[in-house]
Amino acid sequence: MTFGDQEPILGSSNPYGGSSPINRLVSAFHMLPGIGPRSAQRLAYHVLRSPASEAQELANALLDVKENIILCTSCQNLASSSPCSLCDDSGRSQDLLCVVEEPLDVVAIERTGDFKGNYHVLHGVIAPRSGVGPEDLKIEELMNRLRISDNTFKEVIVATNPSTEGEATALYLAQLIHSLDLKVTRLARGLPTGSDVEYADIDTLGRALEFRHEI
Amino acid sequence: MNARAPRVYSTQAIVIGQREFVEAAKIITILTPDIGKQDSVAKGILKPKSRLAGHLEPGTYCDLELAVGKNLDIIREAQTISRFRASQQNLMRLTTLVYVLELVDKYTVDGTGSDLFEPLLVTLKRLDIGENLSAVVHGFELMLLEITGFRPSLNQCVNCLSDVNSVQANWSQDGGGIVCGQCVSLVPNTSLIEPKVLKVLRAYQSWPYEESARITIDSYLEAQLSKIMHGLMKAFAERDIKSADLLEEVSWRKELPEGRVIS
Repeated sequence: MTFGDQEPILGSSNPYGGSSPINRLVSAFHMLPGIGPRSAQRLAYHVLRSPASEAQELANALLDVKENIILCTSCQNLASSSPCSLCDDSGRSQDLLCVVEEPLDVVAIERTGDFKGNYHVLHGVIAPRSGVGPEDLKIEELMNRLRISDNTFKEVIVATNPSTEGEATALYLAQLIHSLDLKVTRLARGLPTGSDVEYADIDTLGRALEFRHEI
Repeated sequence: MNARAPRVYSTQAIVIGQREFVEAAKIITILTPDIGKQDSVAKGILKPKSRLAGHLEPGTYCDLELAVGKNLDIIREAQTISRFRASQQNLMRLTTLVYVLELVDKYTVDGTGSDLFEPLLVTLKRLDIGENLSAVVHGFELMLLEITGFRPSLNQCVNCLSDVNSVQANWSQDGGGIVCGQCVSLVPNTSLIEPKVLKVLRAYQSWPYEESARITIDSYLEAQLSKIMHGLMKAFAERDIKSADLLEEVSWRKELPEGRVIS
């Protein structure tokens, strides 16, 4: 399916017709996650008002990312070379491995500046309802990496989301990794900064109490 | 003057699943005691300070307040009654919970399944307590089939409808039950069913839960029971049930000797 095949987003009053370049661009933006029809229209009109050089830069960047981004053979993260800059960094601790769901989770953890170990990206979680099983994730690559590391890693931190699927994936991984005699830990859970105790769900509040710390 | 339908209503619900929607919203599939399965919208659930997020994870039993929407109702408030926390911390029980939710999802369409609410809630509670897993899950499968009109025939031949009291019988997955000796050549794709398996299935189907939960099941028998029931659930649903495969894999792995390398 091409963008132009979709229903016109601007509706029947759309003066540009279903396959006009503007409508194609709106449809293309609408296909992106988190972009609704109104946001798609705003973005499309922003591009329309921008200088041609900016539009060209955007188009080039889109094509460049599709052509030149690969998966790092070690951590499975998106990178422009393999091994990626994180795996190649000798200053990082070689005995800690953090397993995350998506490449964006690496960015989020790196932003904290508190983690100096290595990463492994699963590219999803076990979600049977969406048809995703363990074989669809980078679990085999993780296990191979742990096996050939010959006990370099002392601890594996499973940093999947605290959702039902994330928990199932974490427990599944823990069972596999324990067979290699490695320590497996899970990210702590508690109240987010700025939240209300009153509105916290009982699971989060219960865990926050369970893992409270002395001040 | 006609009374206007209320714009906002409250209900108890069990969250069956969720999927991404526009911007920070998600579509939450819930099962309620009055309406049955329905899709509702949880706006802003992906934002870090969302007051809905922790209350709408799959498998959560909660109180909801919803506003009637043009297409889908909007979840305004959610309060967890139980998250079945013990089930969330054990792979076998969590996988079973996911399987049970997928079964409800696959066997219902929007606006149906209200009579599954109580059996599902009881099953989630039993899973959480850690009762006999075999009796809990296969008991639920059989109850689900009964409620949705697919009751397997375990005492009558599916072809000639004659009573079969013996435990020596053949099994027809497509026919949804046992086949007597006289009909075995007339029904395609039959296979032998182990007498013990048939005996246990009959008990799960007809005995009260408290009694059937006392049956001791070894791992071989459980593997046979799961094979028969998963095949049946997929055949009647007419589509794959992915979590059944995961459940089989998790059960199989549990049986491996400690320290064995998994490939």
